[in-house]
Amino acid sequence: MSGQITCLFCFWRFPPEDAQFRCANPACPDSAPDPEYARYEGLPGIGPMGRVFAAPPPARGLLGRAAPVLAADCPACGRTTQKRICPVCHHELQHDAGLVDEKIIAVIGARSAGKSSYIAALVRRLRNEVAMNFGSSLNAMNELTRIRYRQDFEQPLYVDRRVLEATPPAGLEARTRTPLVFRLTFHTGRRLNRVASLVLFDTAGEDMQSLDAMSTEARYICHADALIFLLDPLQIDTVRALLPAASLPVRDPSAEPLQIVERLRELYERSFGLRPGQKISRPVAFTLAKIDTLYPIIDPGSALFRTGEHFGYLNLRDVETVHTEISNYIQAWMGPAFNSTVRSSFQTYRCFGVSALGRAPNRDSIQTVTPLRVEDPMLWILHQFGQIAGKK
Amino acid sequence: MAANAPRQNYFVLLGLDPDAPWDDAAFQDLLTRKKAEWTRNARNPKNAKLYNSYLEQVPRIVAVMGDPAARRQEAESARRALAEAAARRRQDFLNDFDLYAVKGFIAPAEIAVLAQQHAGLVTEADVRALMAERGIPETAPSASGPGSLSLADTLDPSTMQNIQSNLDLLGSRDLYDFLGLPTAAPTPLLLERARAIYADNQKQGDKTARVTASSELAGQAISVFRDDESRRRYDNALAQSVYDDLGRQVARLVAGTNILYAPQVNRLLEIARSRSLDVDQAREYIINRARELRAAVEIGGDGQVRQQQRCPNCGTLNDGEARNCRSCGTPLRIECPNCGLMMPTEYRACTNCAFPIGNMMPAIQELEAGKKLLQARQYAEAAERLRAARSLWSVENPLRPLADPLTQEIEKRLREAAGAVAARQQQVEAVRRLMAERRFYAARDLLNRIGGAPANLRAERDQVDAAIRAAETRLRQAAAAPPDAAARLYLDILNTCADCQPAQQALARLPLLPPQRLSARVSSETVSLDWQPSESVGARYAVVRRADAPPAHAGDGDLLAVIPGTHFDDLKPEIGRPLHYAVFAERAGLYSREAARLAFPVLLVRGVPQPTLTAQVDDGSVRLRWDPPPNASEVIVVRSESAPPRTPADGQPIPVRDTGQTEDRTVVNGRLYHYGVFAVFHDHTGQPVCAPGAFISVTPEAAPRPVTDLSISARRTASGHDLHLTWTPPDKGAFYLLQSERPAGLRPGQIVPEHELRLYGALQPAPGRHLALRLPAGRAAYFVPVVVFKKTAYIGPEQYFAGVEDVTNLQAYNDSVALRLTWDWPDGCDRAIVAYAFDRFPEAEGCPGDGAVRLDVARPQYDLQGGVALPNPAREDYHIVVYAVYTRGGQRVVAPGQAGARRLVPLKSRISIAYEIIRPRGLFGGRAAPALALALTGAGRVPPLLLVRKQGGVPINKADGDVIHRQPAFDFAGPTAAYSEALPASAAGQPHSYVKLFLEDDSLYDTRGGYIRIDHPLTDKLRLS
Repeated sequence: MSGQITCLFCFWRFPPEDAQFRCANPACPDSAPDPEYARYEGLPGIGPMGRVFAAPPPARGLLGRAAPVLAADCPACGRTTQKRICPVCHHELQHDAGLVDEKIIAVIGARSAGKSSYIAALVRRLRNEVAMNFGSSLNAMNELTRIRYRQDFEQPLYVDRRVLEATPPAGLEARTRTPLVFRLTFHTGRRLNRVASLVLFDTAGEDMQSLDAMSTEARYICHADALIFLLDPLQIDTVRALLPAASLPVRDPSAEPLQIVERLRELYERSFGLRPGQKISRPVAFTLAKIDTLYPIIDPGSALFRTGEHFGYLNLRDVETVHTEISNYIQAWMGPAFNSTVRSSFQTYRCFGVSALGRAPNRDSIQTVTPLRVEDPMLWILHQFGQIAGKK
Repeated sequence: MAANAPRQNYFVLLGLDPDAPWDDAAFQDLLTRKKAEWTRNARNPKNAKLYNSYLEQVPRIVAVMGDPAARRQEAESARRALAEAAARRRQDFLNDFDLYAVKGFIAPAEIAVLAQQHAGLVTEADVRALMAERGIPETAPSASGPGSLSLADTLDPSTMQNIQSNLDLLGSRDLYDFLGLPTAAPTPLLLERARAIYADNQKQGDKTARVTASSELAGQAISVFRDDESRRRYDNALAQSVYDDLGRQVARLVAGTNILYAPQVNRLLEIARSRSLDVDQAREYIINRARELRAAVEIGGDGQVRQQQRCPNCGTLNDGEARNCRSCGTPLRIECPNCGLMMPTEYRACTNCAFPIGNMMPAIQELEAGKKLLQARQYAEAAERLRAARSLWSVENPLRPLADPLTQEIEKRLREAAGAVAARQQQVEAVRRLMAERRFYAARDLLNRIGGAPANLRAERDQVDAAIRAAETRLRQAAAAPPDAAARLYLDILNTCADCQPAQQALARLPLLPPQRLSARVSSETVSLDWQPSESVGARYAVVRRADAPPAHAGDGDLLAVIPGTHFDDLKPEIGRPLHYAVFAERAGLYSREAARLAFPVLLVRGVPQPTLTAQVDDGSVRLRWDPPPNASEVIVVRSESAPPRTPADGQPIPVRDTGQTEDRTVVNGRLYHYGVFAVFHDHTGQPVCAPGAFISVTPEAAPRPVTDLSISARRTASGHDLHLTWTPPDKGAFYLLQSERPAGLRPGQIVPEHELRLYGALQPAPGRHLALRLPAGRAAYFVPVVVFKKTAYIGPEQYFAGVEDVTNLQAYNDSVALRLTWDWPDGCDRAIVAYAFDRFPEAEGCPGDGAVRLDVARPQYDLQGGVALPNPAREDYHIVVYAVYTRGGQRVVAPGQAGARRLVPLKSRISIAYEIIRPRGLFGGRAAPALALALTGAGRVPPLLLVRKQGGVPINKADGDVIHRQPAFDFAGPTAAYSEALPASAAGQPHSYVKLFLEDDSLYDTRGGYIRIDHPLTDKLRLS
């Protein structure tokens, strides 16, 4: 059991016994507007909501350890409720918050780097092929995740076959601030399975364009346990010069990867008081997206042409091969600055290459979705967390 | 609709006492006075409509009141109305009483106010008696003053006044009530309903005051509900009037005591809430109003009011826990059909997913209207109302398929309506078809069955009725006419009304005489018939033919024609059988019993067709083939060496075992033989009749051998392919190529007559050993080598070439659970065959047990799954070919499956090479020369490797640095091995030099269809110096 709970909305960390409850009885006489909730939602006002009350004192075992309190009776109506909420922002907690290991993973990157498409393909791969290889399963943890993944990711990409719309900045769309929460279960064959909660934040590219936006709208970046940093190769000048102009998107100077890395570093320095020489310890997967577009200009023997072959374990030899290849390509195309900045700022990182769609879309429509290597960064992160084994 | 609301009772309208004895004179006198009063009042434009409506009712008033029975009924109705009015007044008094009493006492001044407000009903003593009855004490306090709330942006007062005067006339509360829709109804629905009422009123010829008021209100509603903004202004104006009422109540309550007590405030808030006012705004208004009146307001908790649920249908406030309205039973909370949250039905939309919960009542109303229309068999109208219900009770992009009972009921009724509409349409089409066929009686039956004929069939019904009336008029004329004239009339009737049974029956009763003296002439294969006409009026002639026996009646044999004339040519008589002809008279579908007949049947014979007679010669034999004519009882073949035989007796008979062929083995090579083939028939007396013969002359000799080595090579061009076909010429006969777009269907070794070859494809003479052809892009061609010798073709094996594009960029990804294949589809291709085997690249089509697996893949299936998965891959080498399959002009064309359509996936024979640069330390800590350490997995031959060096970074390809070491090819037995290869000291090169290992031959990488994989270490293990 994890010691602390992190609220996925305000990122307040607190012991489980500090969680409060909200009455779930719609006829409770003490229903009233919740100004705290409204304030964190950014709403001017809100209708009556269930009464908020503190949890009863937890029962303690022989060693004085507190047992988690998962339900309580409303003092006003007496009805039992299981709605646990954050004591600060009053947002509802996951029903198993504090009971399982919870890992927050943020997918970040510049505008049009393909973050949403990547999440769409990643979740599907984790649910299907990876699940079969690792004897695992991935399930949405709440209705919001289920609906949002289906409506915003799966339906447009896999059913309607169209390019996903740009994620709106968190300042404009509250949904962007709300994560997708999945339960990853590894079936051990024993009585108890290994479980972890994956909390995926899909960042709007606009929120990466300034330090202010990163620290307010995308503040979960600071609280993430790991980052997947997507780089758009089609915004690298050298790559653009090597590829046919017709296949290139418009150049976006704000999508400069080095600037985003520098902002990220600064954000951590400010948020956690990092000393100048101190490295960021959180694992970061620097991931070159859209690798299918690079096939004409990379070596024919490149590992990017094949899958990672993680057959029930993380194929460490493949991870090293890809890391070496990608970091060398980045150096060849962007110069040494990016690699050296990354090396000096991050303690645990690897480079990866992924293709969420498998081939470039035809204008806004997609004929087929054949993702390649999308699971590699996530498996490496899970390996860093000790959730899966690695082998050479 | 509002225009049809019940009228006012006449006793009440005239102020007559229904219990008083009737006095006709007094009534007349009263009516005269009332008429004068109404006329006077009608001059005021404000009241014109109301009093004009009274004046319009005067004739009806006179009629009702003048009829004792109707008057008694009216008096009874008046008693009920007066009793209800009295009850209402009493209830109003009790409501006001409750308002005063709710605080627990009533002050003396309040008693006076109550008695004054309800003068005529109660006195102060009555109020005190009621207080005593309810145990409410009389006690003190006092005060007064005006107050108001201004709702900005309301409809202008004159418009509201106009609306209100029309509403008063029709007895409606507000425009919502007038339209019959709740206040939560969506604006477009309100607008639509207003337009419908307006359109209905326009159709009414009698423009009474009520109709006029209804039309005006509909027009005002159209204006008010044209958009949400305008509607808001009307709602504000309505709210203003409710606030005004509330203000009056406050004024009354504080009139006696100058204090508004908390329970009174709550009661007023309940009233406000029941009339759709916001509780907070109403509370503020009450306080302000009381302050304006200089009255104190006791503030208490209003939580109970807030928790009460307002019925969206009748406005009644219900307990917070109630599930249904205590007044009308309407559900007060429902589960949102879209997101599943429980929602109060008074909300306009779900607070979670924005589903229009507030449309529930209008949707139910539309559903109910649709059901009633279904019962009335007005299906199109019902479907329209049900579609409106669906539109109200749905949302774009629902979170889940809506499956709530209301949606299910709407969908069920919609299906019912759609089915009925379709059935109705079929019936309408059937009516029109029958009319086109002039079957008006059947059309009338069908129209009657349809029942309540829809408006769009009115013209058809009129036409049907007119046709039947005309027919029946002439039937009566015919009944009185002499037989010939009657026959003409009946025929005339049937011409215009084909299913007039009385005409048919009457015509059948008139005699029908047969034609006479049938004769026949035979020319070529045509039988020409002539006869004398019948003496009956209006007769036509049915020509009947029967083989082997004469027709007994018109239905006995083949009815060749029914014609008005007396000549007929049978262009397709049956060959080889005696044919009996008869001609019957026909009139209106009836045939004469007797017929004109031939004395003898006609027999037509046909010889063996000369073109079909072929001879295939071989060593000491002649095989003859022909197409036997139909119904020939036998075929006689005779042979002569001197001249072609002229008759079956003119030569040596050759036995015939089959009527289509024979073989003569009694011939000598090199000698000329003449053959005659004769077909024999039998006439009606059994005598043989011989047809003219077919003849052929042949010289037997050995047959040629078919060509079996036809080969095709192709060169791609801008417009297609240039083909080069080669073969070994035959030893005798002429060589041809038979070309077709689909398999010719000829077997190797088959022998066919030369003239039949063109049935199988285009025949092209091909002298020599080769031929160049051009095949357009996207086409396929089949080539059959043919040797023609003595008019006989000898067939060789067929060859195939497809000029279509292969798939490209075939990739295979190993997920362990499956081999995932992807490729690029060529244009115009929507199917493919995925074929794989472990030992070879398989063909597109093979036979069972050939060791290959083949899967048919459709493009949509590929697109849906993002490729093709070969599940549970074995540890074998997969030789995979994807054949693109095209459909060209109905023909299936399979691409050759070359180059980018092929991929070897070496799961068994793959060799993995891991490597790093090691720099061992010497005895004294110094660095020794670098070495290349290799770790191999697998088994087999390792191809030449290149170590490439670059300063300042790792080379990204072979050309991105210097080759400092070449490792020649070598074998290793596996499963693992480690090697170390010392590099020359000079290999270290400049500082910050790095190396990377490459294959000399790129095609051997497993990513390129080869079997070698190189795994690179981290960069620091690639550093040389």
